[in-house]
Amino acid sequence: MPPTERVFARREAPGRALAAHAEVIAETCHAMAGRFHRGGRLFTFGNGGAATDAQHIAVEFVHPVIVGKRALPALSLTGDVATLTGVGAAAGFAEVFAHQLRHFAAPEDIALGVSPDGRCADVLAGLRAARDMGLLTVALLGGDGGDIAASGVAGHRIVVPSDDPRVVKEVHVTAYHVLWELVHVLLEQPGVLDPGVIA
Amino acid sequence: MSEYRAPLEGMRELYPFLYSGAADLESVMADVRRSTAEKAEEIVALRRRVLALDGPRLEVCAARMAEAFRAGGRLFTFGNGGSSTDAQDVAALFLNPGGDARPLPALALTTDVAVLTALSNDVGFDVVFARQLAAFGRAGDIALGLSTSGDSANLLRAFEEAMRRGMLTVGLAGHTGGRMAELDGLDHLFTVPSSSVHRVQEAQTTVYHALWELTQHAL
Repeated sequence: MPPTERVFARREAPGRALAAHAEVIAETCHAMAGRFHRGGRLFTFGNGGAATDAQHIAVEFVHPVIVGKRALPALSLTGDVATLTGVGAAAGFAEVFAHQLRHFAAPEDIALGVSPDGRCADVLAGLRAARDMGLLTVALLGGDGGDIAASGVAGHRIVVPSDDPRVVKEVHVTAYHVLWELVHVLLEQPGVLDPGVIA
Repeated sequence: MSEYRAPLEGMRELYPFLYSGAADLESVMADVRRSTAEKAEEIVALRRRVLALDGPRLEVCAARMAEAFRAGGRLFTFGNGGSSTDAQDVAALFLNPGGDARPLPALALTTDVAVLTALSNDVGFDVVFARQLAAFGRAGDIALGLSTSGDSANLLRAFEEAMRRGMLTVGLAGHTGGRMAELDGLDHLFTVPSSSVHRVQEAQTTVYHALWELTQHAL
């Protein structure tokens, strides 16, 4: 098999496996839409390549590519280099996301951590701080889900079954595009979110 | 507030009587699940199309990138919005790949807010990447730009600057390739044939991962 075909072939099964997460994705979207509906904001975070995913997710929500979709409040905790280096130098790198969440987030918000192997200490600490404050916690993970899946700090988890961080990332991109789209589907159905229907 | 929160977050089985709109919710959630499965199929099929269209050309491009790195070339990446995060991902992957892979010199032109705001404020957003390439770029370096439409003015200006300077130029576009497809002299252009911006970005991620892996392989 030519090398390019080998590279692409490794994507097939994990790409298809996202369909198996349809239930988790639907529940996650419903919970996220509920938070946005009540004024919650989304905070995203991750390391390395996943830091760029955190920023991609935030821009997706703040400035949708599909014309006519409303802007939703989302912020990546990876973009402020002064804060990242400041907290990292003073309290240690494991604290960089948790610190920002403790001092910027509110209980009605959403924390979404991305970790392709599930073993990022700062993502784990961020999700833990968020859960302790009452935020909705979502994790995009890969491999066996690592410490983050084992810890149970994320109320909603999507684990991509691949040990290649690049393959995991590709499925994550589809997963968060779908999350974004379906959050809007649910937000446009006020009947399924409006506290008014819950009597 | 708190009395609303629990049922809204997946506990409706515990409190079905709280949901006067329960039937609606069920049908919406069924749609949502179906939509996820459809999109997973779509991207798998789109990746197959990209491989069929561009497989051999990806290998050629990676060989030329490897050649450029061997000769001391550096990689500069750029894009707007979601594609700016891909530009950063590409640069981070080449520079700090982890494991046994070989780190290579790469810089995303999207991260320095001082430079981006200075150029936008003083000259205009169209030059934010071109002016950085004018400052950094040398013959033999690589310019890699990502756009879903292929129409971003600042990418077109950047590629023109890169070509003037004798850099190897690599473009990732979507749909029909837009104005990037009309650029005279672009060395490599990979166009993901989809009208969905999201599916284009997902397949482009695979394209640059393939370029990285094949480049490492060629080195």
